Amino acid sequence: MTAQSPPPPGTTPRKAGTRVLVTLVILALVSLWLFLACGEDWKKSLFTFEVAGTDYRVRVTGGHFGVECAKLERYKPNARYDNWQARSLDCAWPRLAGGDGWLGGGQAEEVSADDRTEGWIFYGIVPSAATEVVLTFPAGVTRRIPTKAGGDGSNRFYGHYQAGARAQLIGLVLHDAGGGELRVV
Amino acid sequence: MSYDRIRLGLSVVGLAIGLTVAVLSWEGFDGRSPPVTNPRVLAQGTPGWSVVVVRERDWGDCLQLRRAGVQVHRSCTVLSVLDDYQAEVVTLPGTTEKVVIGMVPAAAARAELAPGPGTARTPLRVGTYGSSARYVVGLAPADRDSGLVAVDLYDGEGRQLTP
Repeated sequence: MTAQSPPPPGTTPRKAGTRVLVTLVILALVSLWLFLACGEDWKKSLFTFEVAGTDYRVRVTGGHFGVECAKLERYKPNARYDNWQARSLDCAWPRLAGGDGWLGGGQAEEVSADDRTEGWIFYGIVPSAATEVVLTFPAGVTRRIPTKAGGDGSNRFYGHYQAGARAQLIGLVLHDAGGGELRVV
Repeated sequence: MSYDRIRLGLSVVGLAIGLTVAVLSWEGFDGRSPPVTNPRVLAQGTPGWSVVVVRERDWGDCLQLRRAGVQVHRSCTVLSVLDDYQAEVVTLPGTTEKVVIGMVPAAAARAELAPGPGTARTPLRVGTYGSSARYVVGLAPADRDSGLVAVDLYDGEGRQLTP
C-alpha cells in the first residue's frame, strides 16, 4: 500500500470547486446569450425588399418586459459584427388615455443608392384588429396594404415600398376585418 | 490576496460586464421603454385635426398636432425670447387650413395671435395639460405664412404678459 501523494500546489479541493462553479456559470451565461441572440422565432423576417441591389427586411423584436416592435434592417456586406444593421424601429402604438383608439405611429424610411433617393419603405406595427392599412399621399393617391400576423399575436404588421424621390404621407387609416375604421389620431 | 485570486476575480468581473452589455442590447428588450407613452387628446377641430399630449421618453410632456393618423407638428418647450412668446403656424397636409399651436407659460389665461403686417388680431384657445402647463391652439387666418409667429398673452386678471 502506497501513501497518497499530496495534491499539487494550486489545486486544493476548494479551488477546484470554485473553478468548476465559475466554469458552469460562464457556460450558463453564454448559453443564455446564444439563446437570446438566435434561439427564437422572432428573428424571422416579415417583409423583405430589394432596392438597387440592397436588401432590407422588417422583423419583430421586443415583447420581453415591454411591447413588441417592428424593426427595419439593411443588409450591409463586409460589416464587422453583424451584416444586418438596424435603420429604425416602430413600437406598438399606445392607446389613447380616457377613450378608444390609438396614437398613430409607423415609419417612413428613405432608401437611397449612390446618393440618390430611390424610394421609401413604409412599415409599422398596428393593433391586432387592423387587417388593412390605407396610406394617403398628396393628390389623393392611396395605397391599401394588407397587414400580416407576427410576433405573439397581439399586433399585426405592414410593410410597403414606394419608388420615388418624395413620398409625403398625409393620412393613415386602419380597417378591421369587417371593413370598419379603427380610431387613430 | 494571491495573484491567482485577483486574476480570477478580474476575469469574472470582465465577463459579467461583457455579458450584461450583450444581454441588455438584446433586441428582445427593444420595447421595454417605448419612446412615446400615455397619449391624451386635448382638443379637436375641423378639418379633422387633434392636439395630443404625450409623454416622450427623452423629452417629457410634448404636444403633437395630428391629422388623419399622422403627426403634423410637435413641440416640447415654451418658445420665447425674453418675454416674447411664440407659437407656430402649421398648414395641415392635404388642405389649405392653417393651425396655430404652441406651449405657453402657466400664467397665461387668454391669448391672441399678434397682428402681422396687414393681418388682424386673432383670439386663440388656451388649454391646460399636466398639472398646470398650458398651450394655445386655434385656426390661423389664411393669409398667415407658415412658421413662427408672436402671441400676446394675458393673465387671469387681464394683465398683458408679453411686451
